[in-house]
Amino acid sequence: MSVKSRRLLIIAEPVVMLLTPILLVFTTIYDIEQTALLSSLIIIFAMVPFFARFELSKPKPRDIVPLVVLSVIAALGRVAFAPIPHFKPVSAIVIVSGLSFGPQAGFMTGALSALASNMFFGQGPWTPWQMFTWGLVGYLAGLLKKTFLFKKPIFIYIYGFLSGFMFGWIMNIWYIIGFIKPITSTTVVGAYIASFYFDVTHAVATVVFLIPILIPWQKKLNRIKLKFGLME
Amino acid sequence: MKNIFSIYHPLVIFTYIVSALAFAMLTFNPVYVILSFYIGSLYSIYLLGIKKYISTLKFGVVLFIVVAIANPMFNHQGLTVLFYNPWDNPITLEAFAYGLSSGGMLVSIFIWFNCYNGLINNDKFMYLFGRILPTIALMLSMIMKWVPVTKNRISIINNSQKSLGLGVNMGTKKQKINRCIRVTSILMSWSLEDSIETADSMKARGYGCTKRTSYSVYKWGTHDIISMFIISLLVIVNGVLILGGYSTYEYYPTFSGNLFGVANLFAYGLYIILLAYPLLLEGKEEIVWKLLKYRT
Repeated sequence: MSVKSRRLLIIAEPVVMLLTPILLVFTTIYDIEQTALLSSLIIIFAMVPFFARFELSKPKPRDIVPLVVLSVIAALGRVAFAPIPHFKPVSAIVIVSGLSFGPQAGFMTGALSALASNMFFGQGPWTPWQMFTWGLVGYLAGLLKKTFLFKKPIFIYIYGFLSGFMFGWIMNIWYIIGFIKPITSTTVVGAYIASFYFDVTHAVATVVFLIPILIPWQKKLNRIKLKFGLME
Repeated sequence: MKNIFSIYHPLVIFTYIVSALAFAMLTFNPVYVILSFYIGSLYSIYLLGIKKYISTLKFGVVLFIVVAIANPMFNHQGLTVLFYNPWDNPITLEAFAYGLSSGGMLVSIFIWFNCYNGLINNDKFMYLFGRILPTIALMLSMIMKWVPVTKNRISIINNSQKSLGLGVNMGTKKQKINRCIRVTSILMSWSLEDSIETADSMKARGYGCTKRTSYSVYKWGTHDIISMFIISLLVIVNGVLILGGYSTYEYYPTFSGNLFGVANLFAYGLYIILLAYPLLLEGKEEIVWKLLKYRT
């Protein structure tokens, strides 16, 4: 793959990330009847540049296996904590992956954890949304790592807490723009109030899992990275 | 239970189920919603049995009721006022009908996903996406393999910790948490080191040297070509009919749109054929079988 097209794809990622919400808003403004389908398609296409860049970079086996291990643990953790609704360790693990291996790896871990764990729970209309959102959680964690804020763990915990809300809020979009008509401030606020309890549970769960694993797992992953010379 | 679609090529099955899902999300026309719901229900029961269907339906009915009640509560558009709620906001028939219709759409999407899970197993999914996204598909299949392996490892670690007197179920709460963390950290090191070994082994065997090939049992047959043709044709015709606005049914400000004109009935007929296509195939097989038995 040429350097030029790779550079193009690197630019495409943040562009798509910004374009997605704008497109979603447009579908609602123009009052298209098929918003439930259209919004799902937008989300699926939003993931294309990430997957394309990953595929085209022809990753070496050593670069993909740590992501697989993290996705397995995330998926297993989700299955293990399934009895408590919305209390899941996936976000915490995805954040650690993004911090240790960079934004792209964070995205892949998130998206794959969602897809793989749904292979156990059954796929649903939520699958592409979960893939995108968990991918985003990992991607942003990888990006923010370079900022001075993430030098202190407390800010990472805060990010984990906020990511729980981000997850719920993005997941709400499909329902709101697909199934509520007309969309008014009351209906939107109503939907967000309805999901508030679940979002808080998810946010708290993320922090609860992040506190014990963040430092030890990062240490382990960094050690593995150093020992085997991964992702250079 | 073996269904007729299990002998078809995954691409045919995928085209069918994705179009059924897409059409279920495509229109709020009540007749389309009802048709999609009933045919989806029939097929789901046929594929996965009544028990699985009912458990999906339970979840669906709760959502349905929430949506059907929430919509008129928060939306006050519409001309036919039924009554006023305690906050003096009108509850309208139109908002209520829209709630019913969108709730019904939501339920039928869940039911069609039930059918999806019955039709496209992990093997077929890998086959379909393995060509386009080889690395991702490889990672997915590695995940599927490592989930049971990792489960097994967790129990091995737990047992050895227990025999050291450090079992996760023993001790004070603080000790328990610390031991859980210990187990996950042992698991991490073990899995990661082991995965690197797998990676090296993959590299040694020439991973990434040429294009990946994959073993598959799926072949295109005449029946696949015929079915693919029929399904594609039905999808195009139905798509044109629905997106062309023949089925548009407006709820606000008041109900408008023709539900039972001749053209509408024709469109519904085509929609039924598309959704019930595998069930029709199933019926055809049954009839052929009966006839053959009758002749001998």
